[in-house]
Amino acid sequence: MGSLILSQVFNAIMLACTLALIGIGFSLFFGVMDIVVFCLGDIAIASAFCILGITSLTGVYAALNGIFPMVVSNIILVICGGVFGAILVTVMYHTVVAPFEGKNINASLLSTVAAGYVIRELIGIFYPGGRDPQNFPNLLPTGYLFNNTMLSWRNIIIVGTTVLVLMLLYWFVNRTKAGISIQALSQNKEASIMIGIDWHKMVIVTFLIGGFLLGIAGFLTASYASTLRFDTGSMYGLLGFSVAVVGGLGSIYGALAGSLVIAFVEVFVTGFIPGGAAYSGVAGFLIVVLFIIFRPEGIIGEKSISKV
Amino acid sequence: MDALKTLKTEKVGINFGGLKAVEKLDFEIGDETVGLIGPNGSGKTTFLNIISGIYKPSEGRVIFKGEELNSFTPDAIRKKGISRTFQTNRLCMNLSVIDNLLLGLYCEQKTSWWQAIFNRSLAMQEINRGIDKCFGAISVFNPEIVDRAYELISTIPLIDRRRIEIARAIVGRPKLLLLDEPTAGLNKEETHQMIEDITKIRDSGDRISIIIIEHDMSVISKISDRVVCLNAGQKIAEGSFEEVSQNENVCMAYLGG
Amino acid sequence: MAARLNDKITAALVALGICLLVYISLMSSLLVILIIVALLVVLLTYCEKTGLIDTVFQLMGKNTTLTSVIFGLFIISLPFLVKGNNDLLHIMIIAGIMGIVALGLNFQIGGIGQINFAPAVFYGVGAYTTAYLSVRLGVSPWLGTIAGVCLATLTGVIIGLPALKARGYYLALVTIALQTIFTLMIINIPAVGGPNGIPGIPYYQIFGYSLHSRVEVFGLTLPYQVNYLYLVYIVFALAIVAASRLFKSRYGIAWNAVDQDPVVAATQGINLTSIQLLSFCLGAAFAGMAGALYAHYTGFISNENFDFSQSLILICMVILGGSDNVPGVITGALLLTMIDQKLADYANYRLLMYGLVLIIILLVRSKGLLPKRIRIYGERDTGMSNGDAKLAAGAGGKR
Repeated sequence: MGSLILSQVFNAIMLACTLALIGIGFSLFFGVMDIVVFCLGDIAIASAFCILGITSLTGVYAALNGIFPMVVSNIILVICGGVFGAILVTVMYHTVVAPFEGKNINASLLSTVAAGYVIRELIGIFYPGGRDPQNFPNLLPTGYLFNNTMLSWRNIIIVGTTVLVLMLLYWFVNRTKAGISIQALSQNKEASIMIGIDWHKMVIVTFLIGGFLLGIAGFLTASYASTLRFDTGSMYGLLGFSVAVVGGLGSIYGALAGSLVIAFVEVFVTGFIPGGAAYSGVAGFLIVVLFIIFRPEGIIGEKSISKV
Repeated sequence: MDALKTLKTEKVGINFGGLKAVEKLDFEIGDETVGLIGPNGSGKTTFLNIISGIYKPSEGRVIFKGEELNSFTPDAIRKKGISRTFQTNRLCMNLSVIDNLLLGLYCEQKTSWWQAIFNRSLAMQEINRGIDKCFGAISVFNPEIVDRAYELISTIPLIDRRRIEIARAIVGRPKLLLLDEPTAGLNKEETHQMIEDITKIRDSGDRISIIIIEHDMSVISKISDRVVCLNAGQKIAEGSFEEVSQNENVCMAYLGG
Repeated sequence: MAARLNDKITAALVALGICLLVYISLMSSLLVILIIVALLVVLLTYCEKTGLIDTVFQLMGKNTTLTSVIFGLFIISLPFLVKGNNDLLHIMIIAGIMGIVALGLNFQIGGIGQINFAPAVFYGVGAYTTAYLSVRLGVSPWLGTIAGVCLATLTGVIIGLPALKARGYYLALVTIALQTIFTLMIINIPAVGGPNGIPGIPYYQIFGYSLHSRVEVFGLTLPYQVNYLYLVYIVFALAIVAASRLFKSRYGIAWNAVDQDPVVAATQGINLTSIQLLSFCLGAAFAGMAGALYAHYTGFISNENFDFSQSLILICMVILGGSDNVPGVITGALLLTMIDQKLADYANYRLLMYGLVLIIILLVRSKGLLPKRIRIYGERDTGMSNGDAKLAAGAGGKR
């Protein structure tokens, strides 16, 4: 029983790692722009498809492997995914987000949901065999640490990558000028613009960084599941937004806390309730709905006084 | 004694995270017009928000015709007969003039949703009666607005928007009317017209109590029977306009002493 | 008098023109429909520039009896016009069913301005309830339909309750989450057929006459779709009447006020809780009714008919047609259903098209093809009411 719980805890941490980055993506964009971009999940999955596409182009991948050692070429691949995510997010910003800035939020809400559908369907239509589940190549080393089935290298690297990205993000947000500007913007937009923060530049920076995060998130979640389906993006995005809301929309640390909550709920429902596997998604979303009703500011968020 | 007073507050106060916007305020209004003055941030609008139920007071009681209102929601308070206008003219921009006015009659109309669907003649009768009432209320101020009844609010000039907002508040014949800076943003001549309009309401013969917040002392001196001055959430002076305007505390408050 | 006659003739001509357009687009291929839509958009922009559109709407509003008779006759004669082609009748039936759901959804999107991403849940609850009752328990389809509407309304309360607390993005999350939960539930509950759906749903019967039987009139054998066409369009007509009456009632105004400014709405005596729940429940009842009709028409339902993409299609109809405008929503429903059914050869591109249509319409014409109109009460349009209004004003001034 003890080892069962331990393995479930480990599973939950793995799941939380795949959710944390996308949740942070949602929080970053909301913090800076006050807009929830609903197609982030699809962007992450599209980036994973980008990585998959490069590896399936035999010539390129072989050439990469010929020039660099395996590890380096894989890192290059992941960075390619991140860059693709960043480009895609920027494109999305200019097509479906920017035209609706300052208007009724329903317009941007609908347009980003629709954009998610467009991305998903484009993958389904134009990627060869896009509507079938794809095997995601095993870019991470196989084998186990201490011959322990829980501690596969793959899992350790997923957790390690997440921690590394989080540390980089922490450094960026707290130590660089751009990061501090982003923090300032998410706390008080008017005041920040007044003291001379270039909002438009910061939006682009946020989108590039967020997009890069999404690319990595897509890679992690695809590696974790080892398969990739074109239509998982909506579910993934929804979970990511849930994570951000549970933690407190707009807060980066909140997203981290939220991902742990959602991951633990889902894994434990799957593991300890008979027949619960089918309902793990239901349980996760129920938690979100309850949070929205009873604590809309999330775990970390502060209760704001609405001004009349 | 309570029965004579329309509205009475007993030691009402509200905190916003440590900031006491209104503190231990005792206030009474009978069948009269009371001017509420005070420097910016003195808690005047917050006080109106408490009375109209938008904020819940953290202490004290609000009593309207002998009934405590503390736990009431804004819509229930409106149904009791307290209606208000807003400082920043808040009309529904996506609705026409007449729809905005009809909104003021919402709580006295009786048509239920199934009657609206299945009993068209009844619903239409009530709407038509309502339209007549609204036209009656607005034409007291400016009969020309009636001709523009089917235009969107965004095409109407500011003074008429204020009139529409006030008409929306009085068309349901409230017992207590709360006016939050009705002349804000108006020029001298328009302010003068607004004073006349408010005088018309006051002298219309319906026993109506009015609380009016104003920065323009000429308005207050002409309209109000009594003046209450707030500063930093507390009442610092009360009485006729002359008394209050000569009160030392009031001068200090305005000059920032 | 002559002017009124002229008005009547013009209104009748406009109504006939609309019928003709519907008929042509029904008969023709996808390309022709797209050309018609393009022409229509040009015509609309022209009419808006010259103000002609207001005149047309006024005329149609004044002569509702005449125009509804024309539309009614069109639907009655449609089976003969299409010579009993069951595919075309099927398209019209689906369009009617979608129209009912879209009208219900419009109470939320157009009315209280909250985007409900789960209309397919209401639609599905109606369909699954009646299917379950009539297939598994042998209940009469009519009773099943009533139960479906009731249960859908209850679902409306369940989805509406979080909507009271959550607006905008949060509501989107809640409704998308509930939509996902619903899909997961029907796939995982064996009693409702799981991924296989529920086949063999009985058809409606009126006094022992099954609506699933062919009709022979004037020596012409018409497919069973004719019965359902009439049934669906009777319900659709009722839904249209109900929706337009609600739009003009105090509830329509209150919904718009809640959308615009909840605080102001509350200070006008509008109970935010009940008014928003009403919007969700009525919308759910409409959708539940439509779902039941769909179940008993096709005889087979599965989770694919009620998933998130179905919700997106419904939202697309409302936004494309014009939210908070009953004729607009009907236009959106008819148009998109026709295009959708004609797209059968390109099924791969269906959802892509919906996504693109939604984005393009939001970018280019965010209020839809037929934008929301100002409410005109009775005969009191601006031109005629001046005298009355002045009288009323005089009377009011004296008090």
